Amino acid sequence: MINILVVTHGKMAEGIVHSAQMFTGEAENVEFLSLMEDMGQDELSDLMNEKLKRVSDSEQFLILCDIMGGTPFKISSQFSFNNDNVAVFYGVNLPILVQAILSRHGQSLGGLASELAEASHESLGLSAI
Amino acid sequence: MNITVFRIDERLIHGQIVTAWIAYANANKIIVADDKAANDEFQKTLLQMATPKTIELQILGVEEAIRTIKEDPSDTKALLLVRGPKEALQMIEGGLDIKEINVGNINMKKGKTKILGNLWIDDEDIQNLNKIHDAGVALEVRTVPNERSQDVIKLIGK
Repeated sequence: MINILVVTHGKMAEGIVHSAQMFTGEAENVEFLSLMEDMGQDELSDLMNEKLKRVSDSEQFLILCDIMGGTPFKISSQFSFNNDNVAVFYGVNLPILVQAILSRHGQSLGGLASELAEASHESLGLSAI
Repeated sequence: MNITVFRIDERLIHGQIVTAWIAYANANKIIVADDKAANDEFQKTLLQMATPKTIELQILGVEEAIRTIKEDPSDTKALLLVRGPKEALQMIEGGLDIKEINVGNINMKKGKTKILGNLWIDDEDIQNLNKIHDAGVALEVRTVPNERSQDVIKLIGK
């Protein structure tokens, strides 16, 4: 099973998980964490540690964070370091989250992560109209 | 080297730095002056990953950073980051010519008292901040450039 954890600055994580389920229907094992203004990075790290306690070969985690270099990204990367059961994708948006939820079944974590990285180019752009 | 922004931020390089402070400082370079990060390959890799590709990054121990900045006669604009008041004081005592320090994030920890959401300090921090102030360096709290600037010494004096 690939679990999905969305981690962002502020309440974007909660909002985007809600929005995504308007496309995917109610999804299991999709969680979120928000880094709020008065939180230290140690506190976010503790919360993430709690969420990732059950990581194993059969319970892998794809972490989707908001921006490269941000605190959610840095803390997430500490959990993916030397751990093949955790992958970190940065720059989450709605199409990417929807695709992650819908195409995670029967996929390897690495396969899903590369699929999303490829798809990311198509998720942003100008309308041709 | 011309330090256009000197900031205390225990997260060092992170979202607020990348999206706002580099542009505000008009910097081509970031100096992270931190003994811990300078001796930790994983932290160094993370900080490098967090830095935009157009910006040069140097991660140095505090003493080495003081030397590097003093010995660089160029007018390269740089953003200088330290983890806490202790390291900032060390840089001032090391003879760095700085008029103002921006305080970004000193976060919640056991034994620290809340001043603002992003500013939690203990007695040691207060002593160090007062010493920086006594050396004639202004201290302002501002998480992002567009926010209102507040005087640290006035805030902790309350």
